[in-house]
Amino acid sequence: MHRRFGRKRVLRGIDLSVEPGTSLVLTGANGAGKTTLLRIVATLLRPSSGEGSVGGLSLAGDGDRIRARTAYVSARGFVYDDLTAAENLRFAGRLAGHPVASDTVDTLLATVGLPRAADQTVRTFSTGMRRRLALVTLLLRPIHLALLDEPYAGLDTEGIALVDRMVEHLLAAGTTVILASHQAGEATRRAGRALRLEDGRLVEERTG
Amino acid sequence: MSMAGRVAAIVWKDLLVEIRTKASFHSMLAFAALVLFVFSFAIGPDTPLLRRIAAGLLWVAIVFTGLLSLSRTYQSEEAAGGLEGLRMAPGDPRAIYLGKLTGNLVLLLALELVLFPAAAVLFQIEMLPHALPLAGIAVLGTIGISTAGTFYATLTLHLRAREIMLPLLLIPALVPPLLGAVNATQLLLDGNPFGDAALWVRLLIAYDVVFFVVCTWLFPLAVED
Repeated sequence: MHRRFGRKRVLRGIDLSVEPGTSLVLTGANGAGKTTLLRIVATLLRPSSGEGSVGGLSLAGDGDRIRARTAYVSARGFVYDDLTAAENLRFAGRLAGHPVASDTVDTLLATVGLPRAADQTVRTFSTGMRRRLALVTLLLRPIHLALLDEPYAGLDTEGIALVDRMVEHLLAAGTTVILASHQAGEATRRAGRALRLEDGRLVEERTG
Repeated sequence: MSMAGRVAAIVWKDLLVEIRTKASFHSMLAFAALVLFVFSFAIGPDTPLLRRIAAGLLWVAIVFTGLLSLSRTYQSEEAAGGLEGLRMAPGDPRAIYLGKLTGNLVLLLALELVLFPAAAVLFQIEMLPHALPLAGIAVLGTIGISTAGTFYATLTLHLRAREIMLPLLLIPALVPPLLGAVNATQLLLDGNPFGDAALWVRLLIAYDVVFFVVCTWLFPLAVED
């Protein structure tokens, strides 16, 4: 698979498969192509050439069905500053087709270490709290594939442990997890398998 | 969830953000009032002339102000990390377009609720006797502006000079609804029976239907990176 933006070749011949129910960590410096690869797998971006599939569904033709089974948490997290945490969750739930009941909001927020934050506007949140709120979207509906872009960024030790617990929870439920992080030490230590992207190419692989 | 449910969710979120920040509506209102004042001051105290061109001035103010609102269509998404959060939702991506279109429509109609009475006072024209047909024309004209505007705002979303590109692309596309709305409004304000405006109303309806169908159909292509 290749992807270019104008003249810039971001992905140069990626050939990769991930076993269902396992985890993969993509590491690499900023601009190595990690986010581009995640966005292609999430069907948010088409490859310039090449093809791929998720659970037997074609990236090119089955985008809607793939998105129905996939959650993508970007580095920014798709969290709205002017809404409260509860409003963000309700909106994400309605959009995903799994409305969140009022009494479930507090439970979900407590899961990510944000008890009593339901009525706080996200604008008042720290970076770490925003990341935690973004992670809740992984729990809103049953998914087969979770794509996490820089999930450890801005998190303290407790937050990092939370991401790990979340990944373990997803793997236990049979969800495939692909995680992109430039913090190789944090991420690869926990992954079943790790790949390093360098200048758009896969240059290293480790199976743990 | 149904398409209607996702459209409703996007409208709810956008209006909630707008109500909470009030940023867009207040600036739109101030800008629209300024446009009307500038026009009336530039033309001077010639009341008969102001009355003759009142519909044109009013709709130009609506279009200019609409551009402000339309350029902010995806502002809350950009702050949240891009359109991808909405695009990742299962289901037809056209729900995004319909939700954004409805949000823009509601905002512009709310603005017109203030702008029409303000124009009536400023240009000394009687609108009340024609309130119902005027409201119909306002709704049809605003649907046209919002339908094309939301689509062009999506097309220019990733352009570097989108603040300039949006009006450059959109204003020519808005000539038909502008013609229809200005002429139909002026005919009503001049005291002509609604029948005389029927041709312009038909133009507005035709534009709204064609642009709604085409823009909704093409949206999935427009929203791709």
